[in-house]
Amino acid sequence: MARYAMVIDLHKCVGCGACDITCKNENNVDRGIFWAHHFTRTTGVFPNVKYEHVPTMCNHCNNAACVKACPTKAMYKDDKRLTLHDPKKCIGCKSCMQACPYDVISFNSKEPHGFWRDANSVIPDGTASGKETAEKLGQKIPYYNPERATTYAGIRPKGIVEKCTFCDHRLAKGEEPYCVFSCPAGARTAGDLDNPTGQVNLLLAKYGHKQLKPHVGTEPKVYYIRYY
Amino acid sequence: MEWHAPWDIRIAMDLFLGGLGVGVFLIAVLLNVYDKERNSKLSVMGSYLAPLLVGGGVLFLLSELGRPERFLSTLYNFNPQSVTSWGGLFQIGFMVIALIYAWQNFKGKTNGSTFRTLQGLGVLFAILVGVYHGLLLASLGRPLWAGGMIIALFLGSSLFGGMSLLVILRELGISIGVPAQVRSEAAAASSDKEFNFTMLFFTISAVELVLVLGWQFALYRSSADTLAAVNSMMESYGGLWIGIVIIAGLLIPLLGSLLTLVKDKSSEMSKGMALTLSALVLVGSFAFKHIVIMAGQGALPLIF
Repeated sequence: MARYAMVIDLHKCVGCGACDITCKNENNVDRGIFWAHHFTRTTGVFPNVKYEHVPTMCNHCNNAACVKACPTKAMYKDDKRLTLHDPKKCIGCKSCMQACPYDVISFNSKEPHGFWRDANSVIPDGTASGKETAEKLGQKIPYYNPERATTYAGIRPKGIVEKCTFCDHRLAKGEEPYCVFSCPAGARTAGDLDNPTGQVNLLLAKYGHKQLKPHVGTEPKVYYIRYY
Repeated sequence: MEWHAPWDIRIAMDLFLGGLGVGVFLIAVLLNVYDKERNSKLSVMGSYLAPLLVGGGVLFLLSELGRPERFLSTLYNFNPQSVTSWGGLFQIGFMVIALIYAWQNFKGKTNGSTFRTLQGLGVLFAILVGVYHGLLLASLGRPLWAGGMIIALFLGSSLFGGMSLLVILRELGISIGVPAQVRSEAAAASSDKEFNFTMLFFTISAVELVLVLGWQFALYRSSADTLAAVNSMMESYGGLWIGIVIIAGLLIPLLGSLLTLVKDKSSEMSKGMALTLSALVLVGSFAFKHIVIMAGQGALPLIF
């Protein structure tokens, strides 16, 4: 059985944020919530300054703290060692958010996609409101991707958490996660850690790697190569 | 994107009220075992209050859940790795036992083996719930909550709060729902074996103060993550921490009770002092739990 991991080449990453945005399109992620995100950090003093842009996402940890913390087994490891979430079991206690050392789990504190129900426009009489757009398109949520609903709730309701699923709906069809597919710089590679000749293992062998917070013992499966 | 703490004041209320409940229960049982005749009124009042307080805390917890209607699924989707799962079990167990125990007290059935069994089970579950409060935080691995000290700190604070609440009831002479037979027993009791609240007050405040200061000292000598967390706590809540938690909630009660004991080791604090110090302890106990819970949720730096 596959053991999926992701490699992010920080020398190839240009910090465009395409992964952050395309992930939202693919997974119907609401405003204010990011399954794929990034942090930036500037260190040093001119002229010796270092700027880092590091993409982040659920690390699908081997030893996932969120799975241990969840009181209802809503967070679980599947047979591909992905860390997934069952919205029907989630009670919204947010223990997983507290336990996750990477802050990549989000809580739906209000009804999602309220933008499309909001009649206020950014520029009154100048731009269309979300509500108008939705009505003209005849869709409750424009740009909704129905494919997402094949393995997870298409839209996660109020009162539960949500997180990256490694695009398990795409993996099921033999496709790569959408952030990998859409990265214009080809900085992301996803694959099976158990395949010794796969691209993931080749990259890790060639460059070595770093992981976020390896000291916390979660054994994250997002590997950063060619770091700053 | 603006950052919000996942848990708000309702979790602090849950752990504070739940802590008071188990503290009240444990001290009430102690009073009953130590001198049943003399302390029966207070002991009975404690048995009524304990499930109310723990139940009140659970209501705050439920209101904080995104899907409170699914709360009972923690039982049938039980995750043995999750401290929260175990906590649900302990709290339900305690509530059932404490309610039956209160009923037995209300009916005046306080001499049989059933009563003693309930008392023993109640103490066991009260300790489990008290330990669960700190263990819940410790299990989440956040720097400020990591390590076992937080368990002792929360349990100590709960005991101290519970005892202070009973002292307030005692000083105000409140006895709602206490059977008349119990009230007359208390009035007729002899005075040669009196329970000394001041001594217990002094002991718990001294132990808790040492634990809190020791915990803070240890945090300052820990890893970079933990140091960042404690510095952030002091930056955001330093004044409240020193003023309310340390000085008002622990140091003043310690010195007040010590002063009374120095004058006469078998005497009790005056009514005014007992009420004032007990109120300070309650405020300090809530501030302690609230600050630790809020500060512990601070955003963590992502580092390689």
